[in-house]
Amino acid sequence: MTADATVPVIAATPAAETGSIYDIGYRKYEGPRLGRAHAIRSLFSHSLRSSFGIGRGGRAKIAPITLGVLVCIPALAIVAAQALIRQIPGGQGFEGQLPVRFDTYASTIGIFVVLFCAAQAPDLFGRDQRHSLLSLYFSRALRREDYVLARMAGFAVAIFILQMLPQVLLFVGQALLATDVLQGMIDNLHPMAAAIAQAALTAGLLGGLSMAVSAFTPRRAYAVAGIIALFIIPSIVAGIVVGLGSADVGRWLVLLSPTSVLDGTNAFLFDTPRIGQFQGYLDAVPDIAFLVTAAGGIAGSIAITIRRFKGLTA
Amino acid sequence: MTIFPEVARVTLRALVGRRRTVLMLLLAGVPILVGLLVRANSDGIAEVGPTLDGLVVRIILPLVALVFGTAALGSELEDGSAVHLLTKPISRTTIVLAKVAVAGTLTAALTVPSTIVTAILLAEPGADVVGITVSLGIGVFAGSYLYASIFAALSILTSRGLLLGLGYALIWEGLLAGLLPGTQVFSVREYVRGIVHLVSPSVIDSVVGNAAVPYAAIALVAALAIASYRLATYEVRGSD
Amino acid sequence: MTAPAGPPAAIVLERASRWYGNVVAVNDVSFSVGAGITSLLGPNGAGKTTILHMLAGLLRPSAGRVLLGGQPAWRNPAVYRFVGLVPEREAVYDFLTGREFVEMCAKLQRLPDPAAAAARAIATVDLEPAAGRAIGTYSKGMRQRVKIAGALVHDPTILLLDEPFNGMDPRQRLHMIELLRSMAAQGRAILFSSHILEEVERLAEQVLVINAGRLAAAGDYRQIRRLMTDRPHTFVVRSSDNRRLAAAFLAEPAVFGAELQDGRLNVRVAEFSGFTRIVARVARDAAVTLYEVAPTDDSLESVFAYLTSRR
Repeated sequence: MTADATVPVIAATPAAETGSIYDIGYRKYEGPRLGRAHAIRSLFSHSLRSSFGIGRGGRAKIAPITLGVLVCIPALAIVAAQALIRQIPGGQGFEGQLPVRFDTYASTIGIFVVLFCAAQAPDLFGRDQRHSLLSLYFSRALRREDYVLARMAGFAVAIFILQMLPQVLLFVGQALLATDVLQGMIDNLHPMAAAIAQAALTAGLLGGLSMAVSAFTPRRAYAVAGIIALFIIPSIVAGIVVGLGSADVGRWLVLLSPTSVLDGTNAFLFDTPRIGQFQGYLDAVPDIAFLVTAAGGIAGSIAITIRRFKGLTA
Repeated sequence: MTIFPEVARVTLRALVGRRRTVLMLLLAGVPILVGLLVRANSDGIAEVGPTLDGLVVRIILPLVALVFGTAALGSELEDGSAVHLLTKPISRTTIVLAKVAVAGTLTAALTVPSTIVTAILLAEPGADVVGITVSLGIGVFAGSYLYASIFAALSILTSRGLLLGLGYALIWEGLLAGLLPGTQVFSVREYVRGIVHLVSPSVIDSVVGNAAVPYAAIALVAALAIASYRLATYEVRGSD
Repeated sequence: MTAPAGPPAAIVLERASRWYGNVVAVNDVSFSVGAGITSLLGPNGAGKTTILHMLAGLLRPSAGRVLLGGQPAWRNPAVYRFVGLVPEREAVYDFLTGREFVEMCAKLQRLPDPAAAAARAIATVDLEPAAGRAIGTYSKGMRQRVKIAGALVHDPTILLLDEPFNGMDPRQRLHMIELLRSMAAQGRAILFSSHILEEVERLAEQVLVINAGRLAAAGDYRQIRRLMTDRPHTFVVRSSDNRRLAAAFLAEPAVFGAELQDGRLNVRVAEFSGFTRIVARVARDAAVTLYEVAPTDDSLESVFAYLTSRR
C-alpha cells in the first residue's frame, strides 16, 4: 500500500509507539484557482456536451444520436430526389414543388426538435436536483443565476446545432447540385441566413421553455410529459378552436402554442410560407404579437428558472 | 387470492401522488376546456369524432397512459425499490397484471369521463349524442388499457421506456401514419378509431375497420406476455 | 421468534460464474453454507453483491448452479417462501409507512395474520416508535431496519443481507449483531456481505473471502488469519536509494531477505502487518525517500492488506 509509505505526522519513537497517524489525505491545494468565468464556461460546455450524450454512457447517447439522424433524413432525401429528378428529361419543373425546402425545413423537423427537448432537457436540471448536487455547485464561485444561465445557454446551443446540421447538409447539397458551385452557394446564402436566424429563435424559445419545465419537475417522467404537453397540446387546441372561425377569444390561444408562435414569428420576420396543418390560424392574430410572445417567452422562461433556483434550498 | 389486490393497492398508492395527479388532471381537463370554448362561441360542431380523435386519442390518451404505464413498474425497477416486490413468492405475471390493471384503470378514469363530457359539449343540436359518447367512451376505455400495457412492457424492456413510448406515439403514430399509411395497421390510435367506428360507424372513419378488435386483442396479449416474460427474467445488477 | 420450518437451511454455489459482456464479475465460485452466520468478505467491487443477487434469484448465473434449500434460485419465486433478502440499495416504497411496508411483505408472503407478523418483525428490529411514519422520512439506519423487518417477517430459514451495517450507529450495530446471532442460534443460515473486517470479526463464524470475483479463502476467520501470518510475504519497494534501504531492512528481525531487481527492491517479510508498521520508520532512519510500497501479488494478501489497512 503506497499510502503507508508516507512519513508519519506524529514521529513517535518506535519503543514508545502505541499508534500513529499517517498523513494520507486532506492535503492542501496550493495551485491556481480558476474563477467564476471559468466555472460558467465549464458548466456551459458540460451542458452542451451532455445534451448530445458526449461524456456520458452509451445509453445516454442513443436518444440524441437517433434524433440527430432523423433530422438529417429529410435533407438527404431531398438532395437525392433533386439529383434524381434532373436525370428525368424535363424533370426540372418538379424541383420547385418538392415539399422540403430551406424556408420550411424548421417546421418539417419540428417534431424531432420537440422530442429532443423532452428527452434531454430533464436530464440537465433534473439530475442535479435528484442527486442533490446543487449544494456542490453553489458552494463554488458560481452564483445561482450563473448556473441557470450556463445550463440554459448550453442547451439552447445544442438545439441550435441540432437544427443547423441538416441545414448545412442542404446548403452543401444545393451548392453541389449547381453547375457553378460558387454561384450555387451565393444563391443559397440568403435563405441560409434566414435559416440560421430561425434556428437561433427556436433554440431560444423551445430550449428556454423546456428547461423551465424541467427546473420545476426534478422527476424525469413528469418533466418529459410536461414538455410534450406544453409544446403539442396548445397547438392542437388552438387549431380546433381557431378552425371554427368565429372564435374571437379563441384565436389568441395560438399564442399559447410555442410551435405556432415560432411559425408566426418566422412568417413575420423571414416571410416564410404559411404552410402546415393549421396554416389558417397564423392569420388569426397580428404578426407583431408572435414576435412579442416569442421574446416574452424566452425572457420569461429564463426569469422564472432563475427564480426557481434562487428559492431552492441547496 | 390476496396477492393481486395487494400489489394493485400498493401500486395505486405509488401512482396517486400529489403533483403527478394534479398534472394528469390538468391534461385530462384540456379537452373539456376546448369543449367549453367551442360551446361559448357556437352551438357545437359536426365533426365531434375526428376532433376528439385529434385531441384525445392522438395525444392526451397516450401521454396519460405513458406516465402511468411507465411509472407503475419502470420507475420502481429503476430506483431499486422493486426488489422488495420481486423477492416474494408470487408469480411475476401476477405483478405485471396488477400493475397494468392499475395503470390502465387510472388512465381510463381520467380520459373516459373527459372524453364523454367533451363530446357532450361539442355535439351540435340534433346529433346522436348517445352514439357519439358511448362509442368514443368505449374506444378510449379500451385504448387506456392497451396503451398502458404497451408502455408498461416498454418500461420493463428498457430503461428508456418513456422516450421510446413517446417516440412511438409521436413519430410512429403521428408522423409515419401520414407518410406510410401501412404503419396504421400497427397503431393503437387506429385500433381505437376502429373500435369507435365499430360501435357507431358515423362517428369516425377507420382504416382497419372491424379488424381493430382482433388486432387490439393480439397487441394486448402480446404486450402482457412480453412484460411477464421480461419481468420473470429481470436481472437486478448491484453496484459492484 | 419461533424455530423456522421448511427446507434445510442450505446455500450452495456450484462452480458459479457470472459475467457481464466481457467483464467477469464472479469466476467459478463454489461453496456450501449451512446454519449459522457466514460472511462474504471482500473489498468493494469484488463481486459480493453479484453473488448475493445470484443467490436471491435476481441474477442468472452465467455458468454453474445456485441452490437454496436444494432448489434453484433463478426463475423460481417459490424459494422466497423461506428466503429473505435485505438489498444494499436504500430504495423502499417511500410513500408507505414502515408498518404498511412490512404488512405488505407479510401479505405477499400469504401469512395467516399479516398484522401480527408485521408487528413482531417491527418489534424485532426495534422500530416501533417510527412504524407509523412514512418511510420517506426515515434516516439511513431506519431504512436499513425496515428493510430487515420486511425480509424476516415470514421467518425465513435463509437470510441474505447485503452490507447490512451500512448507515447504522454503534448501538444499532450491537442490536443487529445480537439479532443475527439469536436468529442463527435457531438454526437459520445467515449470509451477509461486508467490506469491514471489524464487523466480520465480531459476528461471523465462517468467512468467505472474495477478491476480484474469486473465492480467495474460506473457513474459520481466525484459522485463515493464522495461515496468512505463517506465510512469508513479498513486497515491492521503490525508493530514492534502494541499496541503502535494503541494508536497513536486513537489520530488522521481521525481514527475511531483500533483493535488488530492475531498480526495485523485493523484500521478503515474516508477517504482513508487521512490515507495514516498520517500513516508514526504517526509511526515515536511513534518510531514504519511499516512492512506492506494494504487496507483490493481488491475491489474499492484498485483500487482507486492504481490509486491515483501514483499522
